[in-house]
Amino acid sequence: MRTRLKSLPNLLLAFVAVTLMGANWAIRQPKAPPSVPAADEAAPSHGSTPAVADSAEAETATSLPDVNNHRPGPAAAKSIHAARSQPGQPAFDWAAIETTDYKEYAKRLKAVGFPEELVRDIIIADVNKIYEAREQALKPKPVPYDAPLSQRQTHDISAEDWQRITALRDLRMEKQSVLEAILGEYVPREILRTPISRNYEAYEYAISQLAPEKRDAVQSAQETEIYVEGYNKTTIKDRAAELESFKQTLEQRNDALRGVLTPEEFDRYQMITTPAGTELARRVIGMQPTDEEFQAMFRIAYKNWLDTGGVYGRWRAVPVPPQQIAAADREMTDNMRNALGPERFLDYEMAISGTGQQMRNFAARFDLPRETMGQAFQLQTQMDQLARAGGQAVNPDGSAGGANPIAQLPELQAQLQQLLGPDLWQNWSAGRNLRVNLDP
Amino acid sequence: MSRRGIFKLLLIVNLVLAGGLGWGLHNRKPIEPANTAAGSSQFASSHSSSEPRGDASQNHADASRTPAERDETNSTPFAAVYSTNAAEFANNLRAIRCPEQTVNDIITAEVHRGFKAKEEALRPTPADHVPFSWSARTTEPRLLERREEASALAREEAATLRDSLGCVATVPMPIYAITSSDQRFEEQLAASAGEDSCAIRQVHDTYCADVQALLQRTKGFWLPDDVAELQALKEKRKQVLGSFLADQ
Repeated sequence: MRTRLKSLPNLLLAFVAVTLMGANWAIRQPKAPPSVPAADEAAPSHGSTPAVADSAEAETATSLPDVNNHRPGPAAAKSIHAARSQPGQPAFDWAAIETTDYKEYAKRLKAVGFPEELVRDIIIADVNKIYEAREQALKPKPVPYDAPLSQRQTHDISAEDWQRITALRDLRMEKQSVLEAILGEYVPREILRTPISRNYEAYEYAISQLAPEKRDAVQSAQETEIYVEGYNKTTIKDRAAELESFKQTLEQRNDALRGVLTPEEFDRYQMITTPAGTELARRVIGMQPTDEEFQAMFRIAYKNWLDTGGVYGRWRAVPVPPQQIAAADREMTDNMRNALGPERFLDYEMAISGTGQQMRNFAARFDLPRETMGQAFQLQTQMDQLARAGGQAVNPDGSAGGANPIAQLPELQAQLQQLLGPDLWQNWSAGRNLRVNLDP
Repeated sequence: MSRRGIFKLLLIVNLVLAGGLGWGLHNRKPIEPANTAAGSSQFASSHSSSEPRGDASQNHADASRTPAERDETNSTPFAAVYSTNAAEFANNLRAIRCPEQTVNDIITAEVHRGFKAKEEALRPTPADHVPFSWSARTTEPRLLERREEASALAREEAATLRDSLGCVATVPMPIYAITSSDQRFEEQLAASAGEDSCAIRQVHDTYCADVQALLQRTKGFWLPDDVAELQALKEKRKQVLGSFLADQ
């Protein structure tokens, strides 16, 4: 007994040594990569046999993905199996993923860890490819923003062209519903476009701002308006009758939109899409207006649009005397000044004029303080107005009158020169009228 | 050996083993996905750009995943084939017998995912449209910047794709950013498609990247020296392309 007790520490140490050896061995063992779950574990079968598609081309040419969302598959439906990972073997075999059923395909991709967003993109790309050939046959060539005016818009649209436009829209709607059925969520669709110049980007942007469940209804109403307005524009020869039809079409669209949107959403949709709003957005982008500022400016600009003969989206559709236009423009300027305050009104003025834009670029390049930039802009604007007015005298606000123009011009130039200093003045003079074409 | 001697020996062995275990645990690496490229270039390519593209692409890709998604992804079979390097990822997919067309789709979708956030920021807005009868030329820097950035981003994404999928890979530009000159170039390239198409595109992309750098430097206010530099870039492009395209 006594001998056993004396051996106990050694026995304990021997036991600990064996345990430690085991632990050391265990932590140095290589780990096998994670393995794919078996198909039946990964995605419970719906009991559907993957559709046999002889080839991707055959299915693309003859049929669309049907309600069961069949995707072009391998030559024969493959048996779905999982390749359990063995050391030195691939983590899984793609055969375990492949299926001609899109919903199942998405499920399996997710089951092996493909991120949700990637799965969505893969499915969209795949379905797009199926529709590509038919869409291409119906799609007009995109017209760049700097194309000649004759290419940017045409009213010479044949009956076949109108049919093609409708067919493209139908095809895209079909593709959208196929994708939505597979993915179980809203999928955006390109807006219908005609060869008539419109701000189609604004419609897509406005629709994207709405809740997903409202987008299809709004897009549908908008596309109907685009189509009918374009069709009438190119077929009704009497100008007054065409304008009347335009008003009716737009009112019908508005009624449809009001059935879907809240009054606030409707107003915002209008502001984002109507030419008075989209053109204002382009003109004032340089001042980076806040939402609140833009809404205030839009109200003023839209009043001016109507006061100067605008009818909904048509600029000066109704003839208005020039004096009325001049008065409306002065009123708009005053209202903008009051709404924005002096600092932001200066930003507004600089944003909407070429001289202001150039002065901002100049200030950015040569680190001009804001105060100097503002003063330089006002001096240069006065000089420009003077030059435009020719022999007539111009007041600082642009109105006629004031001192002798011949005397004013060198005086203003001297003031600007002094404000900028010799080097900056030289750069301003050398660069302010330079225009470059970046095209190769 | 005496009991005392055995005791001392076992004590030393235990100390050594305990030390070894501690060291082993300390240096134990997290499980790496098989085949993931170590030190890879993360969807990078060698083409020139105003931004370090490889890092940018990786950041896009990482940023586009939620932390939960990243954790989940790390322990799945997908992680065993995924690589932040597009070419490596493509090869891993081929190794598990993924059909070539599907490899292309997956790489295209994954590369696109990496650029999505930036593309979203440059999505066309109502202000980007040039109204009919308005001049296409503008001195407004914010409009020019958006247009240039959108086309540079599309070129960058296309170059990343070409690195792993070959020269045929293209990425559509937003309509507001396409110029007539871009369209002409694509038509010329399509007409003369052949083994030189990658080199031709590289020449064009380099020109665009150089112009963008010039634009950033001038901040939209050009001086005569800048105009001369721009002209030199045009000449250089024309000269290099002359050996590939007949009508340059």
